[in-house]
Amino acid sequence: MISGYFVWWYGTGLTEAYAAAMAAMTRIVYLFSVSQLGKTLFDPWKNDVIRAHNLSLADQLKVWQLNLASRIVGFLVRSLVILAALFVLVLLILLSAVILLIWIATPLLALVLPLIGVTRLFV
Amino acid sequence: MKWGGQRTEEVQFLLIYRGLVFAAIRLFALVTLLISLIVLAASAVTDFFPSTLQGYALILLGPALAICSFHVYIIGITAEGGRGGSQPLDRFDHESVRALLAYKKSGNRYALWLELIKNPAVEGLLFRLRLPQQTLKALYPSPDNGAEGLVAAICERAHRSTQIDVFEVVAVALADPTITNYWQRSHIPIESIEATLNFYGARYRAAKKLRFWTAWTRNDGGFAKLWSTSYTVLLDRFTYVLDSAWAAGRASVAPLIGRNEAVESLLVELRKQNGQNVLLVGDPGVGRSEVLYELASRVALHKTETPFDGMQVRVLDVTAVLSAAPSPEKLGPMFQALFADIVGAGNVILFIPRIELLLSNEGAGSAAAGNLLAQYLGDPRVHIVGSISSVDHVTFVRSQPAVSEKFGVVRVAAPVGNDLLQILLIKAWSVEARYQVFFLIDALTHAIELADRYIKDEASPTREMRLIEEAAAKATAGNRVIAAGEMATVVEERAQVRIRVDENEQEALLNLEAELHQRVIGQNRAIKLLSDALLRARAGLSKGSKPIGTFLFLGPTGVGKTETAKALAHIYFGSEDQMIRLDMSEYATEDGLEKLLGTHPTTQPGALTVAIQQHPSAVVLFDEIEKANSVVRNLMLQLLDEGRLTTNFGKVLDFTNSIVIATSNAGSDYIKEQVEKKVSAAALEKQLIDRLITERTFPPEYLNRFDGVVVYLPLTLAEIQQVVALQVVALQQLVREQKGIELSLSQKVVNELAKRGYDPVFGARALQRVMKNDLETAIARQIIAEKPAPGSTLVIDSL
Repeated sequence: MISGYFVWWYGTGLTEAYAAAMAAMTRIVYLFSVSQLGKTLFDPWKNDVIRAHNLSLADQLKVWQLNLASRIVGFLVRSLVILAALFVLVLLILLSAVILLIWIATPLLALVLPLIGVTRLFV
Repeated sequence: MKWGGQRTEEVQFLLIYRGLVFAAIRLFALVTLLISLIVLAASAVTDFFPSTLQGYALILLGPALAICSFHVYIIGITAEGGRGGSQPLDRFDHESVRALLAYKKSGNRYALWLELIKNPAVEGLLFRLRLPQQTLKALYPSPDNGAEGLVAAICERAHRSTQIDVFEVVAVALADPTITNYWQRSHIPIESIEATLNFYGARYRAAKKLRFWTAWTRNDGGFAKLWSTSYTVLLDRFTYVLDSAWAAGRASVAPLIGRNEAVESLLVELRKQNGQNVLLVGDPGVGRSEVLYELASRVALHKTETPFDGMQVRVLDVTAVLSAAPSPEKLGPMFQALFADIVGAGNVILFIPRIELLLSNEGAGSAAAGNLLAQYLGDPRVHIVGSISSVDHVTFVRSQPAVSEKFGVVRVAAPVGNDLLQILLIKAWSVEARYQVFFLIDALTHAIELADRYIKDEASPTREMRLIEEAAAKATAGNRVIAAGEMATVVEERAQVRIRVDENEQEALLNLEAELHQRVIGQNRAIKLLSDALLRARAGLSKGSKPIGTFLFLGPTGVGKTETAKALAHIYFGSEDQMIRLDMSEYATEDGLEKLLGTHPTTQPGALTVAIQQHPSAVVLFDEIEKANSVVRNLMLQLLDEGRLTTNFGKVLDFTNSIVIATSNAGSDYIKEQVEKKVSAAALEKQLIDRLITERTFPPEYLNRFDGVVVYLPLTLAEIQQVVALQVVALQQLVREQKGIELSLSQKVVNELAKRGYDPVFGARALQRVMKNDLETAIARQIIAEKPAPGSTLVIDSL
């Protein structure tokens, strides 16, 4: 059983822990719609554009300005969300790394921690 | 065979590990771990805890961590399947090994089953297959020491697979002749067992693969998925979205079975350069909507790996649209605004169920809707999927080239075989939870068989699903387990047919001659021929390729042909109402075929079409067949050969559960002549048929298609007297019920009635007139004159 424990801990178990970490990161990417936002970064916000024909030059200029503003709003909002997603992703990567390190170190920690504790008692 | 190995060690260890002592240790370790972590974490930020406490925390943390991680390891290995190894049992999962060890220890296969049914999925499967614990105990009363043989058989079946789960063990164990013989004795179809086993096994394995993070990998588009689509106010009002939340909920309760090909075809059609609109075509009830829902589910969860991933699949409420805009003047702007929303959104796939409501140009509400819709079908930014029945597709789409060329077609066929059974298992699952009932496997297979035979106005799987729902609703408080018998009762009520005819058919057929003679006077040879022909026809093993029996009754009017048909309907199908009578003189003109089969499924369905759909199990009587139009007579050839007819609008009429009788007065004069010459009945029959062929009244290929050609002879005076006796009995019953008085006729009156009612031309019909005009008048006169009190006897001794 003991040898089986080590085989599983550093084999299947580590693989599953890694898969869980990857799944968490995937969740963040999907939750923040990163792919969708990237593809539509410069699209007008909520597809809100004015489509008009046969306008005077002045009106055409106004329409162009409004449509540009819609794109700028869209770009700003999407960019902010992408940045937020990246921030959360970085935190998650750090957390996952820590958890995986603890996973790898657990058998060792189970031996080392009591020794450190004993040292603390007599220091 | 060696029974050792790592797996065996694990199983034996786990028997102890799951005890109370280890459970207490685990609980203590978990609490210790948490407290130690809290102390250490607090120590990192404050000096509240002295270093000695920190030291103790660290000392305890180590073992606690070890015990908790070991427990994680135990959870991990019990969840996974086999891992392969040097020993045979290393390929099995824990449940299997435990069961096999129990079998080896006791030598009795019942011990194996006792362990296996600890798995709820296995227990549910076995109960559904009529193998509850008590039955298994009875089947395996004594040891057989077959554990090693079983392991070898399982390993052979699994080939080189290193992961053998409990359902593999169950599959091999169920193949035991003890169990298969039991199923045969219980009339459980063996072919359904494998489908059921695969169904349960697949669900079990899918559940085993789930992890707590599995749902995280589901791509539902995120909270920003609609940031690039415009507002869709009108579309929101008349449609609803099949979104990712709906898709996620649906996946667990309605997995797709047997429709993958249709879904893939739908996707291919939508992606075609010139085909962004598709029609799902199929009979009502085949599950066209299910195909769309599966596509919507895949689109919502980004599983199609096409540009359609993440698009909105919206379902249009057609009746709401037509109600809000009943006239063409209002409908035009409504459509314009709706499709403006669709184009503006840029990512909508619009599903229109029952699209024939829009394509039909009939009815004030849908006026011109089809034309308006056609204007937008060519827009590449619009994706429409419509659902329509096969009949309506022919009527409303193929007849309008402007519409049909803009739609690709995906035909959805009814599921059959194992696919259908698995769909019903899923349905049964949900129905059982709702009604607190349980379906045995023979109930589901019986539903499939009976629905196929008796319910023709709906397709699978909807018709079987309705039967399941009805059976569950009808289950009484004391009888929550539904078997084949309960399902047969539901079908009898639904299809208005006596299914027990099949089960008591032998008795009905063997007594048919005697039963018919109680209703039909004389015609001994004719009745015998009919009964013998029906016996021969039903002795054949193929049910469902031809009508139950087909007969041609020849003879003069009023000799008992129609009465025989009525009696047959009563005896064979349980009621005279189970007779469809068609006077073929009404179908003598050129439009006879259209009147018979119809030209439109709703407005002009046809007399025969409506009748056979309402009474699929009946006597179908074509009266005076020689008067029908030649096209109609030729139609009979197909009916007699194949038991099926197809209407102009694609509806298939099934006569395989009916008895078809055609009557004809052709050759009546010849019959009378030969009877007067005292020609024998057998010779007369042969001569008559030859004459009818010679005179081209009926061609030989026509007569040969009947199971029996039965000649009815004119009634003699003695036979008329017997008919009088029958009619008098019926009249006495009527007078008794209506007036409460007993009617008594003298023999003189009976003889007089027979004498007056005897007419060689009109047969017993003349008697009916005499009974009405003479006898009933005499009875009425006497009732008025004497005013008999209820309970008294009214004697008629003169007419």
